[in-house]
Amino acid sequence: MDKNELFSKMRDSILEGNAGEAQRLAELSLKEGIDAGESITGGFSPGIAKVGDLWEEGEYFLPELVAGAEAMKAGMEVLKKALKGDQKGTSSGKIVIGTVSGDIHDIGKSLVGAILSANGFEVFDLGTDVSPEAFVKTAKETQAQVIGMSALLTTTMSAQKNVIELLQKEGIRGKVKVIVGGAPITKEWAQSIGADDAPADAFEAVSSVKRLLGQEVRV
Amino acid sequence: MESPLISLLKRMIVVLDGATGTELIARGLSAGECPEHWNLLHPERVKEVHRKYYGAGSTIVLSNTFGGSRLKLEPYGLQDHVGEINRAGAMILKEVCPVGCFAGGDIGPTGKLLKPTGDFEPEDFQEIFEEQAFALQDGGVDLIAIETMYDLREAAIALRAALKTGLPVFVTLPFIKKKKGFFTMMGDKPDECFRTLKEDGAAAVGTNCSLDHSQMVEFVESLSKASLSGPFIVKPNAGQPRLEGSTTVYDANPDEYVEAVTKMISAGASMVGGCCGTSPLFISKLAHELKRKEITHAKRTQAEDSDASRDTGRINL
Repeated sequence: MDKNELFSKMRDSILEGNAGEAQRLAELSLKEGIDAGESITGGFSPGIAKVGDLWEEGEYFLPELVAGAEAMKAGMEVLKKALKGDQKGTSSGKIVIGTVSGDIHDIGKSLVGAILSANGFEVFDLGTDVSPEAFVKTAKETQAQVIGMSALLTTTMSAQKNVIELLQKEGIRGKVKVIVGGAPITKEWAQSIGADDAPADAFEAVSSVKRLLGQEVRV
Repeated sequence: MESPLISLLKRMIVVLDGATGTELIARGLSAGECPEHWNLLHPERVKEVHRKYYGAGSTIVLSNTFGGSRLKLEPYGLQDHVGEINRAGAMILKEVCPVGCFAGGDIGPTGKLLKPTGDFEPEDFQEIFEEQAFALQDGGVDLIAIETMYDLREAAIALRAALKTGLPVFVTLPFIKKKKGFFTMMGDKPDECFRTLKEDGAAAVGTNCSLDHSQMVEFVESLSKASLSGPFIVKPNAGQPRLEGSTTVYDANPDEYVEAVTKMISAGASMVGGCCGTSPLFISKLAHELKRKEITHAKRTQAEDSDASRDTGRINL
């Protein structure tokens, strides 16, 4: 199979949410001696980007997003090991994510993690019902540049503010960017609690984080 | 013979309640605290919220049990208190429910997803919802209201579970607006959702949360006649949330909300209330306006009226 055909199949495996196929194609690409980094940018990434477009258009919904993210993860896991020394370790940045205290909703947060990871960020996912202390501690330990918080209920969303207050108290608010998300979360809310942004979905989260970190955002 | 509740739903505009979360926050609920636990810890404060809604004009008020399922109570370590919390929630509500009004047992989503997108099996959810529904029935509710179900499959399981109590069951779903129209987060289309749920035995269907009042007008106007034949619930959000000091406030104008809800009624909705950010004030203004404009009877099509006269045994009590 020639390279372009392989890349095209990689893209399709993400669109179809076929994790098994994504893994198989990733392994095949390595066997054929194709550069892992090229497979990511030429094969898999266009796939997940297209998933994002289809979500935007209202063609793809949560099930397709999750399946696409799983397929992406399967392909990336194989390729990451083979990334050359200079490609490895140049992650775009580190981000700590979690759903706030008392809240167990995780699908949106996990998607944000998956898509950020697919775009080269190193993601530390703390799961759900995460205390402000845990967010701050992990951010410090990992030296993350970004903290991302999810909340889905009116009764849990103000915990996002608690995390920001703790960052201020610890004197590190200026060292991290804070993004927030969840169904009731808006830009106005983000502003009123002192967060840096409230990206509407996982795909917007990528451009938001890049912008906040001063990286180039491909339009 | 038809129950008073079912007769009411078929013929009249019914005023429902508004948000509970923000009312509890206003009475001291802090971030990270379990709202449903207040049924045991501060029942008098919960009762006050219910009283205010009935006083504002709500005919049906829902119990403080939205997050009262086993899975939702687990982060707080209260998963073994499902029975106690839901029974208490039902009893508190029933205690202040005036004659002629009704007490609804509120059931919200589990917060988790079914396979293959999530990790859970239908049987797991069925068990969780049955546990909650029976506890609410024990506590004395007149009906069950299943809310904010963003996955039709989960909604159908919850409906099936709640119907086992023999009580009338309402189901409302949140929708999102995409370029191609309105969908649930999982991609379900509104008309299909309502058809399925009605076929499965829901006494009333509709939508709550997610959309604000102006978006919800557009939503109701986009529905098919079939969806709007029969009691239809609308509970929009009151605009967007903002933090003011340490309180979460929603910035919608109650008058705009009332105007929008009136339009929804013109478009075919017949059971009206509010979700996030609404309050007894919103409901009181709504009830007042409906009275002033003499909007009392449900607008139904000719065809549906003749169907109703044939179908008195349709709703299983």
